[in-house]
Amino acid sequence: MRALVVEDNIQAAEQITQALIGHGFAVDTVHDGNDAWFQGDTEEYDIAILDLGLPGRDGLSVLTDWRRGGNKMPVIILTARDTWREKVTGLRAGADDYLVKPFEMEELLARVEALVRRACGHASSILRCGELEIDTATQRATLKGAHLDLSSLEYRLLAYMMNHAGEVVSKATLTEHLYQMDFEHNSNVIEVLVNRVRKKIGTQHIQTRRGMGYQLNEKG
Amino acid sequence: MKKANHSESLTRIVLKSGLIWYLSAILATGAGLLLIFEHFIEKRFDQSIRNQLYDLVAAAEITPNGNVTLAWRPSAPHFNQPLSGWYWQIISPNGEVIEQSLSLYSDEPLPLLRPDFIGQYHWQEINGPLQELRVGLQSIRFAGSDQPWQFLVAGPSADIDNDVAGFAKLVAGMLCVLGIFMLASLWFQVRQVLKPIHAMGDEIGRIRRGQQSRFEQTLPRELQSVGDELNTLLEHNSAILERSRLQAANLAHALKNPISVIQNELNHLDADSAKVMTEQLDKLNQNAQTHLSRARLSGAINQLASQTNVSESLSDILFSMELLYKQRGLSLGFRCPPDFYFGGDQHDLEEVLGNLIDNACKWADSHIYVNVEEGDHQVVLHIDDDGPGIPESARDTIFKAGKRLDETTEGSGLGMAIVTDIVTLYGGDISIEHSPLGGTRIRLALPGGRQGESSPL
Repeated sequence: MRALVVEDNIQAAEQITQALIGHGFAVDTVHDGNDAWFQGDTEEYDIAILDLGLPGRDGLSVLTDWRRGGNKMPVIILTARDTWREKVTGLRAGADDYLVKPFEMEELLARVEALVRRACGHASSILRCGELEIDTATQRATLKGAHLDLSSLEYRLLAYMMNHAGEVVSKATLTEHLYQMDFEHNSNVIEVLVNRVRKKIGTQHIQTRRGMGYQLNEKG
Repeated sequence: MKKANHSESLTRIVLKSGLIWYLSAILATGAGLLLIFEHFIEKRFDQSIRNQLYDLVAAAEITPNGNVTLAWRPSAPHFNQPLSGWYWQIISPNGEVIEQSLSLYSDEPLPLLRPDFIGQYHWQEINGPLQELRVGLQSIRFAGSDQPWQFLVAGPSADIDNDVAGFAKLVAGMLCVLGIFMLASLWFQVRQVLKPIHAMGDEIGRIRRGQQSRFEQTLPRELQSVGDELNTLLEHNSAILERSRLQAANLAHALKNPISVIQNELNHLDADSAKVMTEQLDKLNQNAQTHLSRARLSGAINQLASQTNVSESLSDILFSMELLYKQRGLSLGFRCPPDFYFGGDQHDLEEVLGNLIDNACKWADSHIYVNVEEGDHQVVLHIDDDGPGIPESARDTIFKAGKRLDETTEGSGLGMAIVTDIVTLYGGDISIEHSPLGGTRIRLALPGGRQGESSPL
């Protein structure tokens, strides 16, 4: 899962970024409205955390432009603006959730979690695929009830595949959703990563669809 | 004294002074016309008597024995009607009546008045047999006689008075019509002149109800400056409000970002040292939030009383709740006539609704319903939830004026404090009841009503 953090306060941005990385996200962080719009418009994100009072241009206009351009990524507004009129304006502009500063990091993570899950169409934080199971809230993965020891990148891959179980996911999409933007695109890295995960969960689960990508299946 | 002046209507002032001036003008005109007419009628009357006297003189001739006889008698019928008031007489030099009109109707002819034998034509008024008479007299010396004979013709002076009275009636009638017409036109003019002032009043009403933000009509030149001044004042007012809100927002931003960062950083400290700092930080945060929301409020008081559509604000707030509580799958509904308005600022209404419905959402099991009714110059909202409800013993303490639920329970006490502030500010009323849904019912009464119901002035 890949997240965009838009926050002009450097320390706050760093805190949120670290928390999200710790929660299994690949995170891009920008500090200004124009960068935010460009980043959200050109890259694929599973969630955006958007501050409203930004240098360059206001977060609201960034959000409005994203939505006008047909961008459907879940957006959670995280701001100091706490009147109900401001909340209504933000939500009417197309935000999916609204959190007022100061906030508890736990609260933010829970809401991010819920939004991502909802966007993938899952009701619970526990995802199952045959004997595979992950809890996105605790980032624990199990196979037949036994704990799987995964690196954070491996977890990210598995979590993405579980969220899109049954779908064919291209290497490009995987690259987009697993790595932050400074990553150098190289399809070999994905192949290596997929093979590492296959070794841990059994090769049958992730099948290669030649020329199209990978598919996670129940039977294994 | 001053107050009485203020309450007197302009229309009445103008009509009153108009009445005095018009009445004087009409009376003067009437009197003048009567004088002229009376003079004219008298002249005509005298002329007629004089003509008939000359007629009589022309008919008279002197006989060789020195007597006067009439060659013919004046033929006008009123000289033959008994006591008609029209008479003639000829009086001999020794004072005897020798000829007189049949209308005098007496067996022994008596002079109507003592002869004076003045040679020139003159007249005088006397009391006749039946009525006052106006008598024309002239004495004539015939050729061959050195004695003067007095000729006399009389007519009733009542004729003149009757004519004058008739004319006066006519004139009075016409002047009355003229006066009524003048007053009517005055009243009409005053109305025309006052029309832009009434229109201004209507516009102020619309501005008060928030239907427009400034004067848009083209006013007459005399009122344009007033309109311009008011527009400047309105702009100044909303600029001040805007600025104070912007400052509150900036301050919120400036305070909350660092608080947020420190709070999250505290998680990395060991529990003991973090505890004190967390407590202090919470206190700082709550104080900042309370005073910032107060600052927004006091900004709102400065504004011209405006009107806010209740159902629009409600649907905005409920739309937000649905998103914010999407996880919980709550069912939110409301019923509110589209023309209900709250007599105050939109921000304030939405703070009240947002905090109360947010609370209801926190406690509700699955259903929240808002119902809006019309009260006595109030809008009455019932916010119902199907949660556990609030025990009767605790109900009073929650909204008691000045009672602040600062004992940090998830910061929800702060929201209620703001609600109480706003409701008190607008002279509204809030209470907790048992909800038919099973949980809490908040009954909220705020000033307002139906749009277009209250007249602006």
